[in-house]
Amino acid sequence: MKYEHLKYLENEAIYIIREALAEFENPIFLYSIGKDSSVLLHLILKAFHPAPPPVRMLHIDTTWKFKEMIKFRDATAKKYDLDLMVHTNQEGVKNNVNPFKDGSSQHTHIMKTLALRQALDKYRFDMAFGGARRDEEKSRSKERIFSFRNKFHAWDSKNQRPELFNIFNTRLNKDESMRVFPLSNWTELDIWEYIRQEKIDIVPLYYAKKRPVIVRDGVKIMVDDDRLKLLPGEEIKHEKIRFRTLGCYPLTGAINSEADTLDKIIEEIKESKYSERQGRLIDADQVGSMEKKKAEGYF
Amino acid sequence: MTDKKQLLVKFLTSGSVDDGKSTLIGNLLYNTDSIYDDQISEIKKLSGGDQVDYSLFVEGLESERRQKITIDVAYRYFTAAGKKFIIADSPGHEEYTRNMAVAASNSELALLLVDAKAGLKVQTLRHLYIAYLFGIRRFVVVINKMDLADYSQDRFNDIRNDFIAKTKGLEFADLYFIPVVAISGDNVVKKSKNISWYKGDTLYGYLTKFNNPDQEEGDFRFRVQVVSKHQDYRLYQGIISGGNISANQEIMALPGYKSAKVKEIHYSGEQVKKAHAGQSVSLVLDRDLDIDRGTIFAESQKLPQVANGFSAHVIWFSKKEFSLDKNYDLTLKLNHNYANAEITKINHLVNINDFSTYDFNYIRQNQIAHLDFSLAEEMAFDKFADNKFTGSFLLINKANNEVMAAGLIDKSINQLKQKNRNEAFLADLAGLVKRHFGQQDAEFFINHLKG
Repeated sequence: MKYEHLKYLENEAIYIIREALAEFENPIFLYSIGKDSSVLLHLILKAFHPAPPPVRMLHIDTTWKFKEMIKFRDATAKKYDLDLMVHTNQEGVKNNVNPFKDGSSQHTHIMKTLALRQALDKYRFDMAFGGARRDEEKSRSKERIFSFRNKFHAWDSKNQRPELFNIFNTRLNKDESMRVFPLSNWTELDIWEYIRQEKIDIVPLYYAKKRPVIVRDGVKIMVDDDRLKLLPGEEIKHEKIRFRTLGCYPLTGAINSEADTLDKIIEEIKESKYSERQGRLIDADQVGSMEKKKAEGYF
Repeated sequence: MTDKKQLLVKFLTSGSVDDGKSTLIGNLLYNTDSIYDDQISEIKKLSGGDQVDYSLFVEGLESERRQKITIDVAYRYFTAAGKKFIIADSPGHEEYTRNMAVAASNSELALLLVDAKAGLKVQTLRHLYIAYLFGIRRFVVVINKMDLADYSQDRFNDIRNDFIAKTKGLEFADLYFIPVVAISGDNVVKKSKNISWYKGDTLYGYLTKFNNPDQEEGDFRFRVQVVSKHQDYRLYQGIISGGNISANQEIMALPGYKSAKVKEIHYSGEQVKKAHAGQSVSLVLDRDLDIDRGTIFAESQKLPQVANGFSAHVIWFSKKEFSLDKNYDLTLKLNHNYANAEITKINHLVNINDFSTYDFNYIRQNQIAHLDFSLAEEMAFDKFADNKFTGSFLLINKANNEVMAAGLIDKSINQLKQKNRNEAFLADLAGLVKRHFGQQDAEFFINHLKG
């Protein structure tokens, strides 16, 4: 079955991708390994087909990603012969920053936001693609497709560049950069329907399967390695679970689910009463937290 | 193709500040089950009580929630009756009119909110005019807060008649009036019991029946975004901005006037025989053309304009005002190219209260003006009325990269320069003829050419 609105979204995304890669000199695709990144990669490949895409990929590795994500990342890079770079905040590793000891917000700031800033400063990328969507979060719904960042990588929500008729003002001064979001107008459901239509590979963690979990602060956390130490009263159970979003395993909540095929996942999302971000601990800190993080340079 | 038109609708909300745009959209989303439970509980917390403040669903920025106004466009999505809707919820405050223009440029339908008690305000008409100027011909006038006007049919009719009188001369493809109470949801999704005299569609009913205008109409236009070399041939990649194209068709590439035949069309990973407006394609031609990004492909019988100047309507975005003695270092972004530009004349400004025009020598933020532009080079473009993509541009201040204005091309000018150049060429030629054949032959030759 074909959904015509998916055609519209695909055409628009390819237009944006071509526009960004034509206008900037040192572009990068910030690849997060998640479903949105998988769709974006598929579209980047399609945009230049049959020629190879003129862009490298960067993954910010916090060292706390699910093992299956890293495996999938490396297999994908190999399969499509992609130029993949991996960056980790070594300072953070040296100081043993981790989400258990430092909490979600500190960990995310050091291992994600600062790591990203280090990489952008080091390689001097003038444009970075991201797979963010406007339906994900309130402040995202306000963000332009071509989103300007000053030399401190900060987003100024009240002074955004006007985007009319999909004409983008891409001019930059020294050390300024652009974030470009080709999936801006996609919803979570669009992403899943497109994955099904185009048969796009995704990390198996999105499919329900029996996995070891504990419950901590009301959230189901998968025990992905032995860095997760059980607290008194906690007990590992094997439950059929899956993830709606993927990130650092100690900060990503699983949901109990029987959805082990794309059809079942799509049915489940259509009926869900909860947003996909509910499982992400980094957003729940406070209302408006994403807006604050982006002002600091979070992607 | 016909399915596509059924399945995606992009509309914006417009109207003055405090007339209830965000509340209306919040209510529409809430009552179409487009908001998740965790988001509802977050909003209930913020609303401070059990009464849900619907506007908080769409106010995404902290300063917006604090001040209870919309600053920037928020994009929202919902699916109903087999259609996907993209809503651009735009700010009503005069200071943020430019953000409303952004929303209008990316929509095909406008909801225009009117406060039933206050009636049409200056800002209501300003939004109507901007939406109209930016190509929207389909409007739903949503007369809100009917509870504050005793749900009165007379009041509804008064506003309706006032609207029709004040918009005389504008040509709408569709104009629909709905009385609603956004805060309680009357006639938003559910039919209102309080407004029983109204027999038309609810807003939801109207939207789910809406048929998009046909985007495939018009002349073929393709804009080259990327030229990429692959193996021993070139791919011209871009989006079709008008009409359609088939394999083996002849095209003309502008502004260089180079012709070629389309050999292959690649779309969405497959080779196809035909493609139409809205599709991102890769074209292979029967010969490699030495052309740049921004070149327009068209059919030779239906070419765009090529000139080094034009007149255009602009909406002025910048806080810095414009007058002819200001020496801004300007560049235009038009059809993927940047070109240095100069404003040579302010023809008039538009009074948005009655859409009349008046002469003035400077332009301020949020005003609409009709200007003459001179370009540093020849460019290909269309009138905005013929094609909204090849006929629109941004005006950028090179000093700080600020977008000072957005423009809609009215007609090409500076044909004079073109003529001057022809005459200069003829004069050169005459000199040459004179040197070799003498004065009389030269005059005869030139007159012969001119004739």
